[in-house]
Amino acid sequence: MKTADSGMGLEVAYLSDLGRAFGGALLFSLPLMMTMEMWALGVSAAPERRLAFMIAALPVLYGLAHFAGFSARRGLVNNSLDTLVALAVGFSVSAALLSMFNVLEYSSLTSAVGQISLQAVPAALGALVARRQLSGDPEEGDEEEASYSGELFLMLAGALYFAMNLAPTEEMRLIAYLTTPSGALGLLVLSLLLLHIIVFEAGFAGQEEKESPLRAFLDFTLPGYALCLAASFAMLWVFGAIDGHGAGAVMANVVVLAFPAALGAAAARLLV
Amino acid sequence: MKMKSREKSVRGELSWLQCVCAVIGLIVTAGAIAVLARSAFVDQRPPDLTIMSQALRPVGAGWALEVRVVNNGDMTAAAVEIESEADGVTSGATLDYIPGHGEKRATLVFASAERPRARVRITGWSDP
Repeated sequence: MKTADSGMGLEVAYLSDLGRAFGGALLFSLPLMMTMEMWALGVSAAPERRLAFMIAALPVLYGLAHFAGFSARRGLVNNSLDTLVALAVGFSVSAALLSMFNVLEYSSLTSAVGQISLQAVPAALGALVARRQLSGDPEEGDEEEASYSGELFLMLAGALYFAMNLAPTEEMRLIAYLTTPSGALGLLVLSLLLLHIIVFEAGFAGQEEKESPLRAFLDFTLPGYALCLAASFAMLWVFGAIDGHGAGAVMANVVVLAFPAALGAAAARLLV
Repeated sequence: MKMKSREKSVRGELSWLQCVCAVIGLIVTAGAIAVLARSAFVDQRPPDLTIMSQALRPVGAGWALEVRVVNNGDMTAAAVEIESEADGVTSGATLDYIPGHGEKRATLVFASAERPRARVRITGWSDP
């Protein structure tokens, strides 16, 4: 009897976690679901890039299930299951909302799947940071346990969390076209500066022993910004935003998107 | 702080609900990857567009001709320009996207009192 009660308790607790996952998925993905560029990209982005986006997202989602997650359960099996559950949540939220908005291309299976899967990944990301965002306990999450590489992963997750909402929009392209080379350079310096100030103030794990700002700059700010540049380039490539551009224009686009990415990376501890 | 985080974690306990949802996630994700992989590596035929007149009805501005454009290719066509001509009067429209194996509908308007005998054609499109 006691075992049955504890089993039921486990299911009820997971139901609550699942509710939180749906809340996180909605909270994070709604801006993207209501962005028309994302509807078009689900159809127009090259299929191999949409596939690469889906596959590359899997290890990132697993890492988030480990460091943040929507449930308190941990371990290889639980993290893997929660990653798949987050994807199930992401797919169902995307399919439901895009159908309700009547923006799905029903005439072609590939197009509808492309549209849903493109939105499902950020929704799954939102589901996996739900514990931090929606639990009401600011101490939720296992970031304190993160190693140096774990801290860098969290910076990457923060960068993706923040910049993904902006990456598909035409405005990012327009800013990159309008900005001058010196403006882009200034944005790069500002990104590095803000990243460093916020990271140093936020106090990443292990930083207590490395009090020197120079050491923090070398250990966290520079590699963190490199991750922001890489994540920005990857997102722009997936969305076909830099196709046919020269090196200078590609760099301008990457630096512009890396600005919000750097802020997301810096605030990773607050976001994820 | 480390201890606190560990105390909160429950390890080794699996919920049935978690397993069922994870299986659904696995099936849906694998299905999506399979569809995307198929379109990435198997279907790569360029757009092949066909336009058909559907219905002609009187409207306040004259006559509205409904047309249907079908893409029999595998790749998406963007900025598809369609044009119709009737008795020296032309009418046109642009469709943002027509996905591979998909279709879109459009309406072309003729400001004439007489029922137009319209011919429709696609003038061009671009890659997305």
